[in-house]
Amino acid sequence: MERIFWVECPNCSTRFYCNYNELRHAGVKLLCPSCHARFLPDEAKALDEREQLSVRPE
Amino acid sequence: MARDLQNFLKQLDDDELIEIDRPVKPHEFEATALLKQLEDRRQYPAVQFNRPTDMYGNASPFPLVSNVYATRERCARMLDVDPATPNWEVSLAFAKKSKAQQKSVAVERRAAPVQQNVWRGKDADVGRLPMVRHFEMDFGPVITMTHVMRSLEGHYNVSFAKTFYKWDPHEMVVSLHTRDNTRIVREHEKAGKPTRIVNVLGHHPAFHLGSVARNEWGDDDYATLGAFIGEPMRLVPSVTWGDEFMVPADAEIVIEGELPSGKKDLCDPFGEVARLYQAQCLRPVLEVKAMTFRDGAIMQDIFSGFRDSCPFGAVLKEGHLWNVLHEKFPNLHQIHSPDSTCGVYAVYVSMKDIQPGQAQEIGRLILESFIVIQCVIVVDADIDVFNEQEVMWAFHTYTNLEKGFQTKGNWEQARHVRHAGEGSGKAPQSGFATSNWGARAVIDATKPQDFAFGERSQVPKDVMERVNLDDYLAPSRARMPVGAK
Repeated sequence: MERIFWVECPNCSTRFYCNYNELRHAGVKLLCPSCHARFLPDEAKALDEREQLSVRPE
Repeated sequence: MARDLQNFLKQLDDDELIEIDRPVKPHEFEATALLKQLEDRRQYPAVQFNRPTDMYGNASPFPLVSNVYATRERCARMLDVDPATPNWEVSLAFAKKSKAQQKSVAVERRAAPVQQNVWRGKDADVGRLPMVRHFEMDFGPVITMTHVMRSLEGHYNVSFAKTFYKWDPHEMVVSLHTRDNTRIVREHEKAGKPTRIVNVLGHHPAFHLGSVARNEWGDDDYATLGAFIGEPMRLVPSVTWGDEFMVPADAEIVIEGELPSGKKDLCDPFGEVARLYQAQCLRPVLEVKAMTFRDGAIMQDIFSGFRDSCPFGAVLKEGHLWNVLHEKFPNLHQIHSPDSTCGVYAVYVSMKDIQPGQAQEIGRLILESFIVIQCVIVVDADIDVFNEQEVMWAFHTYTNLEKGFQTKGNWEQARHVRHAGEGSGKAPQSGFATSNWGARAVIDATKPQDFAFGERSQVPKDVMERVNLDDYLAPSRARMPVGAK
């Protein structure tokens, strides 16, 4: 399953999610779909990057 | 009569196409709000918005049409099937057309409606289009229609990809994702060339439906689409590259652009065809070179994740799986991918006189054919796979939950595809794989044959055929809507 992370925009508090592998640590500023603010993931008002617990067949 | 969008719309009855004359702001969710309310009422007409606004809030020069694919009856019309038989007959028509070809013909510019109007350079302002912002978390307004690309070897590839508005009149971001257009971009980048790309914003609906057909690398998609629309595709030299890149002459609107090598920008979220938002990501930038359109052009859009987008996944799966499976399984009856999973995640298959082991074998081959399918339910031929209530009855009645449930976990290929512009190695898939667990299931919901089992109740078939309900109802009662008292 694709790993995502949720962010909360520091400007308008809109929550949206991003591709973890492409954007979490790439140094790319995210774009808020609501107010168009640009910010790094670590500048988000809130960040949810919990990973899926590994489920392996027996 | 040319096989184009506007002639198709003219064939529709009043209850199949409604026109909205009040102004709407598609970029502020108003078009999808109206479509959603129709769907909530279980009404699925095509909807033409005659006065949509553009990206500046002004009246767009282009009407907007959506929901064209929202019923299988209209899909039947597109594929020259009787709308009275919109289920398996549509699947078989898709199967047949996807294996056929009609060689395209070149026409001169004066015979190409799509070039009746040409905007180049600074005049080519995509902000004049009535682009739709569909869902609350969407990145912004987006074009949802098909793109044409050409490989370095020279064959044309036609497939769906979203094109995102960037609040810039001449630059967009295109969310390429199919195997072939990813390969075309990679080969151009390797050769140090920009990738030429054309976005077709409306054509005969069979053009867009046929663009999801699976072709081999090197096949000419224009020839396949000729088979879908039922006549040779009329092509005209593009205004940007001349006859080095031919575009559909009977399209409504065309954007001609280039993807500069390695240039990317953000796009998404977008509410994808499987009703989940695709995660924000980086995709190739499209530099607009020209916009051309016919007089009175209508821009087409897809209401993604709702009934309007279901046939693109469903009819493709039904037709393609028939083509690859019916010789190996002569007792294969019908195949359907239901609207309840947006034509994406599930496939129901019916088999005549199923033999031991066949349910698991056909299920495995289906899962291997489409990496997005999560679940295959196999039923007997007396269960109508187009009637989900019957399929669920068979599942809950016939399936031995201890033995009839085959799961396979950790399918690596189900979780990783490569995207346009990415380097070597695997990359995670955005979009409908957001919910793709990797583990997948085949459910044998055929009636047990290895021990004495009960029988499904039936009204005798000969009496069903002899007694016609309409002959017994008074006219006023025959018109009463379902559920009325």
